Amino acid sequence: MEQPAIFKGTLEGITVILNPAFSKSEILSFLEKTLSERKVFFSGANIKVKPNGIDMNEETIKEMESLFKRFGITFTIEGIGTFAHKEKIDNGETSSQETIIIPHTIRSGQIISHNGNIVILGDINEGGEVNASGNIYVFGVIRGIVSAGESIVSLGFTPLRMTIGKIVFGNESNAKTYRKPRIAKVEEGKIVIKVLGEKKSLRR
Amino acid sequence: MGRVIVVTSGKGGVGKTTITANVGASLAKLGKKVVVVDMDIGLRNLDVVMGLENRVVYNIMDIAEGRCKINQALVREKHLSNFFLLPASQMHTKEDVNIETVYEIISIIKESFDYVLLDSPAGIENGFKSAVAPAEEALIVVTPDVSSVRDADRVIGLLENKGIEGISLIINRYDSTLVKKRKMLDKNDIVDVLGLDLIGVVPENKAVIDSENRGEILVLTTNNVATKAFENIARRMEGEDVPFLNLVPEKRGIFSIFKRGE
Repeated sequence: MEQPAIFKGTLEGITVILNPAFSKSEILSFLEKTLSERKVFFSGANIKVKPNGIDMNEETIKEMESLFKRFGITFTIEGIGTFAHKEKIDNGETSSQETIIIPHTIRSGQIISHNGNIVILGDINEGGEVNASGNIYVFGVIRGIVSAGESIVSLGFTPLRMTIGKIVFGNESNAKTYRKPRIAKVEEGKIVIKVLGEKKSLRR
Repeated sequence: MGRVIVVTSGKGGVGKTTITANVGASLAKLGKKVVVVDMDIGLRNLDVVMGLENRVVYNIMDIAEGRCKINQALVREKHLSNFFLLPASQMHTKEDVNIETVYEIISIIKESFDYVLLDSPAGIENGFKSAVAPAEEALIVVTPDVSSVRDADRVIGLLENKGIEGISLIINRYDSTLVKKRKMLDKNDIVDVLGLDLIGVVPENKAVIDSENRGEILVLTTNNVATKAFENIARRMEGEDVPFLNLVPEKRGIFSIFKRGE
């Protein structure tokens, strides 16, 4: 190969193979140039780096880490480890919605609203309310008011009112608590509650 | 230095005052030095259920407004020398209460007692806030119905925000017959929603209101299943591991009403 590093697309994602014929500084400059030129393509990416004989000492790892960090890229160095980054890219583009975690039950009178995803470690009690533009993940049961932009995952759906996007839940299913989580989402104009990860059966 | 515990519920009429008086008396029977404080300014009734209304000279607002010293306002209970009442004022309203002043008064009082039980008024306004301000722990009282549980949930959320150390639940006026007929919430469902440690279940019992109307504290005059429930709460508060009473529904006829749990 003639370049300091090669970017390869595989089933697992993008692999970067380093060329030991070049110096570390040449490699890092090349990486920076490539990532800058194709910022949008790489943003939020999960890249695997193959050192290919290059000595990855602590200093090199740090330099690589700060480089990928600037572009918001999570990367794994083969044989060493994964470095995850959720920072925004320099020009302000965010690669993913922010998720907040509320580590307790939402009680009556409490309202949580967030532009992004919300994780609740507990229940949403009947007088409580949770609103998210993305998804809501509840490690408990929903008795109160929820509204999400995309989907809602919970161990129990007996909501006072549940809305996904503009669709209101018609409460057709029986009130139950499940041992494993279910997901509520919009299908054909209605909110349906299904087992998470449900596979299509082979029944005709 | 004593434990300062607020007895509160959100909903009115669930039995906060009854429980404050009877649990307070039960703790006193165990030898603890107890004072119960009526924080229902303007609608006082702790003195009435304890039969002490004609012994009230000064009240908490007299202390707050500088008309008397703290121990001048404390009323000793008729039967127990280690059990006291700090009455509320009937002339003021809850808006007259200065939360900081109450906080200071209770801080001084707790030095001389093992337990300070604050009988909170219903609601979540100034009266409730003044009862909660000096408290370090809380007893939440509910009756087995949805309104009571909803209100309690609200209150618990407020107490959690305040940073109260320990909160435990008492279910009052529990009627196993009605629970069995599904006309009353089951205690497990209540605990599931509120997510609190259950420290007592007090059965519905006519003798409770009866003794209050006579100005007598039940646990000091009668020995029945409700008395046992109150006594068990006191023992659990003191750290004893007491199994819950097995409150089976009443059988008409010869057989006894309850048997001890395993």
